[in-house]
Amino acid sequence: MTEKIKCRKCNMLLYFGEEINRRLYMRAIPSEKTVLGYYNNVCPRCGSKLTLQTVNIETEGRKKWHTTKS
Amino acid sequence: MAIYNKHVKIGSRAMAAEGINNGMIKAAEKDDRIIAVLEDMGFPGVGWFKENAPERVIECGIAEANGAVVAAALAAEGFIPFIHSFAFAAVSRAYNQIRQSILQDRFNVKILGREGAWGEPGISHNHIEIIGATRVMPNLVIVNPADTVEAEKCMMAIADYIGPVFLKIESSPPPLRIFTEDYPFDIGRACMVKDGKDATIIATGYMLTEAVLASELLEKDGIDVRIINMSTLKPLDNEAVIKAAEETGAIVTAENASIIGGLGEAVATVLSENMPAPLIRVGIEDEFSQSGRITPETDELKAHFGLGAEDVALSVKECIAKREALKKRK
Repeated sequence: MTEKIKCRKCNMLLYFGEEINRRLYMRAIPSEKTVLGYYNNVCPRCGSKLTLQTVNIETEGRKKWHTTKS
Repeated sequence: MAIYNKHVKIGSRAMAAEGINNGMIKAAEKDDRIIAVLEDMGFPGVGWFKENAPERVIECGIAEANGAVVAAALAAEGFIPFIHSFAFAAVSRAYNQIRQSILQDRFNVKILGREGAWGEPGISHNHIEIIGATRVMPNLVIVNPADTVEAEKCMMAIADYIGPVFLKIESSPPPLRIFTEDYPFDIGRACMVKDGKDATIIATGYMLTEAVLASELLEKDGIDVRIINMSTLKPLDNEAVIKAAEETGAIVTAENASIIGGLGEAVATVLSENMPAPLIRVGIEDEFSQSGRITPETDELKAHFGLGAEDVALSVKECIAKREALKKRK
C-alpha cells in the first residue's frame, strides 16, 4: 500500500511512501495537503501551483481482501 | 547501427562520482538548508563546503548509527541533511536508526551509499545486498544513476524531492557517458535508452554500460534489443516493465548487486502479477563479494561474477530461447 503524489503538469514525484490515511495512530503526515504545504504549494520543478486538483494521487498495492474487514 | 533515444550519446568513460560532486555543489548553492553529514569518509563537493559553508558540515566520525540520528534531528528542524559513507556503513550499520528515526517519520534525509559489487575494498565494503536491504524499507526512494550526467541530475532531483532517499553510488570502474546534458531525469521514471523488438534488457547503475555494450554484440548476431535504464529502483516504473514484456516478450535484468531482493526480483514481481514473460536475472548469486583488481585492462570481479557485456548478451540469447520453447509447449 504505497501512495504517490505527482505534479499533474510536469509529473515530478512529490511524495512516495505509505498510504497517507492508512496509519491508525501517530501519522507522520496527516494529509495530502500537508505534503503540498512542504513545497509551499508550488512545484519546485515547473512552478505550477499545487492543490489537490493539480496533482495526481495514486495508491497501489492494496489487495481487495485488505479492505473487506472495515 | 543502433538508433538510440534522442537524449543518448554514447561517449567515453567518466566516473559517475564526478556527477555526484557537481550535483551536490549545485544543490548546496541553491538551497542553504542542505547540510553535509560526514562519517569519516569525505563528502561529494567537500571542498566547496569547506570554502563556502563550513558551518554546514558535521563530521560524525565512524559512528554511522549516530550519523543517522543526527541527520534525522536536523531534518526535524527543517534542514536537508545528506549522509555520505560506504553503503555497508551508512545503511546497514545504521539500519535500525534509519528505520526508527528517519523512515517512520519520513524525514527528509538523503543517504549516499558508496560501492556496488566489485572493486578493491573487498568482502566487507562491496555491499551487494544493499538493494534488497533497502527495498523492503517503507517510505524510502532508491535511486542508482547510470552515468555522470544522470548522477548530477539525480542529485539535483533528490535535493528538490521532500522525503527520504537512498542513492547508490558505484565508484568504480567508470561507466560510459551515456546521456546528453539535456536528458530529462525524473525520479520514478525509467528511460528507454534504445528501442528493440527481440528482447529487453532492464539495467540499473553501472550495468547500463554493460547493457549498451551487450546490445552492440547482439546486433552483430541480428538481435535487436530494447534497453531500459531503471535508475529508480523504488518506486519502480511498472508500466515500462509491462510494456517491454508485452512488446518484446523476453526480459533480462542487469544489476551490479545480489539478484536476491534486487532489480531482478522487483521486475519479476511486476511481470508475474501483470504480464508473465520469460526472465533472466544477471547479477550476483547468493554469495558475498570479494576483493578484485580493477585496471584499464582487467576487471577481475566483473569476470568472476559474470557481469560483463558478453554475459548479458548470452543471457539475452538464453531468454529468447526460453520464450521460443514456451511458445512450442503451448
